[in-house]
Amino acid sequence: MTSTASVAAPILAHVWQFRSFSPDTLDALAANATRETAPRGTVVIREGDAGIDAFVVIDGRLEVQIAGKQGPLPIAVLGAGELFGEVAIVAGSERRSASVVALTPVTLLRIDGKAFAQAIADDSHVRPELEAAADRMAVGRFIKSATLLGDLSPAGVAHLAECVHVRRAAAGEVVIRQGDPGTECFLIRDGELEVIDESGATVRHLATLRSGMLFGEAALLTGAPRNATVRVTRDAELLVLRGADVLDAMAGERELAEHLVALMQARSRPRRRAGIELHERTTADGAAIVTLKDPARGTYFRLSREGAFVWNRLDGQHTLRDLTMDLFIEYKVLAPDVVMDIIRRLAAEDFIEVERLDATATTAPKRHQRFFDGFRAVMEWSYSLNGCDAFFNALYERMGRYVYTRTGLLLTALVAAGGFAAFLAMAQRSAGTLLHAATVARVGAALIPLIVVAIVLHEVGHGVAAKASGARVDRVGLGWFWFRAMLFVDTSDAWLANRRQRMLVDAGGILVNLVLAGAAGYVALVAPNLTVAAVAWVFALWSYVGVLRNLNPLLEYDGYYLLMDALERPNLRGKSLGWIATGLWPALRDRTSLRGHRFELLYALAAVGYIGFVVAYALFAYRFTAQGWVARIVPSGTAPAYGRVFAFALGGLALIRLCSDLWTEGARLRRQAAPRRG
Amino acid sequence: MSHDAVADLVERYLNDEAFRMAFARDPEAAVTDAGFELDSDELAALHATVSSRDEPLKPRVSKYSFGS
Repeated sequence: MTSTASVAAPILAHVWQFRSFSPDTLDALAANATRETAPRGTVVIREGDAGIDAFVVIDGRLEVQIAGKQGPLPIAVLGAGELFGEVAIVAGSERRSASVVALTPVTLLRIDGKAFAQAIADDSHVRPELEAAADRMAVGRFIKSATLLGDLSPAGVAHLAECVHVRRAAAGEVVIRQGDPGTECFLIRDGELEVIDESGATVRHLATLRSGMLFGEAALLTGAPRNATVRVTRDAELLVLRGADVLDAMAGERELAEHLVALMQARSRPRRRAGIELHERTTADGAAIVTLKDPARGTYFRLSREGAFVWNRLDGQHTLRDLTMDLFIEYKVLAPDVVMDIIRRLAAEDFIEVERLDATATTAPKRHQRFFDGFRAVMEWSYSLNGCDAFFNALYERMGRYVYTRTGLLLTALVAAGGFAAFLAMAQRSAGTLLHAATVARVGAALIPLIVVAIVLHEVGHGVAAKASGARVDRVGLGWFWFRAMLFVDTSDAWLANRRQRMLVDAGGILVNLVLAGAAGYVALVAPNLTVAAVAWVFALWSYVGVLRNLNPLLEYDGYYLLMDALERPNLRGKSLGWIATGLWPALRDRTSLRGHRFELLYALAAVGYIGFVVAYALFAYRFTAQGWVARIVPSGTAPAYGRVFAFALGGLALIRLCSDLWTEGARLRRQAAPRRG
Repeated sequence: MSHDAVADLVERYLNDEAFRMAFARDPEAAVTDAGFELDSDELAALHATVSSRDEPLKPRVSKYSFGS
């Protein structure tokens, strides 16, 4: 340590709290100051230790921390010119109320505590300012350690601590009146309050609020009038937060925003949306399944037994407290987390009416999410035609209903099987015909319209099968799906059907392709004209290959839906990838959990492995088909490199899609985390 | 534990974010730390596993792409 009186005075003169000190007082403080340095990580003062010396930061950054249950909680960050350690003197305590830790190598000016106390005693102006600063620190400490705002960053806590003002309210006083506009919310520092609903004929108690709880947030977040009255039941000390300050804090701190929204939802009285249909069925293992359908939007939501119980009570009167108590009494399940989770999911899908966030209170999605959302929108564009259910109804009545009988399906299977045998029998002759280049060109030209018709009929097959299962088909369309033009038919209404019926819908398109391929096989067998026979045979080959590709469960084609329905695992891909994103790492440490998620792990590993297959297949296909053509137009020896670029570009796109799903589904699972879900 | 005490526990869960986060980590520990005493029935109710079948169902779009 070195005496630094000559350089200390100008430093002390720039400390904001010391601005009213006279030059003589500053000189006296400087004479009792020493310059110190400390490396990063040094605990300059420790909470609970004895000590009254104060410090001014000359250089570097330090963090003010208080002890929390899970470890130290940062409440402020200090930089050059800032004072710390003064609270012990101002509060008349010789114990430190917080720790201060160097975040970087620091240079400090240590001020002797006794000289500092004397300086404060000699100057009547400085004590109030130091007391105000100590109060702000106490408020910050309370915010950080005892409230839901504890997730705020040190800067956020310090900012809020500067903005709040303290309000004391006596028992019986009304702090918030139902129906009034709301521009503030309140943190309870001490005391007790009750929340009451005065909208009905009688006053209804909704909740009791105690120290550390926040109230009044709903009106700030929604812009709606106060939805309940809050009255003091035991003398209270409240920290009043202005709406603008809370919204500012939310804009910069996503976790705070999520906590406030969760709190608002926890206190809500949700109501079922009008027009939602409820459909019940029983699975093969006897479990009751309830599915909600919103006909206006064509969306579906599956409910468990408990979920259906909660749904039936969402009348705008029951609070989550009522719902949890009802569930406890009915099913002996004490699960406020599950009730809240059900409400959150229903609200996210717009099946219930809950208080909605005001536009100013929403936070922008993260950059990764915006990228993935934008990328997906470009890669999966589609155009829909609505109102086509009547068309499929008519088609089913005139034709489909004969196919979807036991006899009809048997005949269809016979045609398909016989046609496949004919296809195999004609393989050698057709391949021989295709060795002639002129025939190849004619076959290619004839195939294109046949393929277009086959794809249209594939989708018609799904639609007719949906009608056979009693489902509506309200939407068909076209678009592209990851660089491939596509046609589609929306069979979402099949969610209301049982497993066998859903699998029939999934297989409806493939069934059509097998029949068309079989018919083509017969044509190839009997056609006298070699070109016609070759066209029919190649069309059958294309159909069979298409069927195999469609059965790949790793892409969202028919095979995926077949697997999902066979296993009765809706949203299989999303759940598997979501679990990999959120549950794999913890499960690797707890093997019991890993065994319970074997299927998710297998599916996700297969999805990753499939990317490798895509790259290898593209390289192979390029080498044996396009490489020769490319070699004629690119510099000598570079054709293989083009193949590698092409293959890895395909693999890269597939990888981006996988990452997008991992990110999106992982985020969804984290938002909806309910650990006690079986 | 009385019916009212269960109601207090639920109310605490819904209004106290810190308690809610502790409950998410370990329901029994959170409840005990907060001073609620559970009898064996309530403990069983607290540990009861609930079906995970409450979920939105994604649109079923049966598609056929020209490359497939």
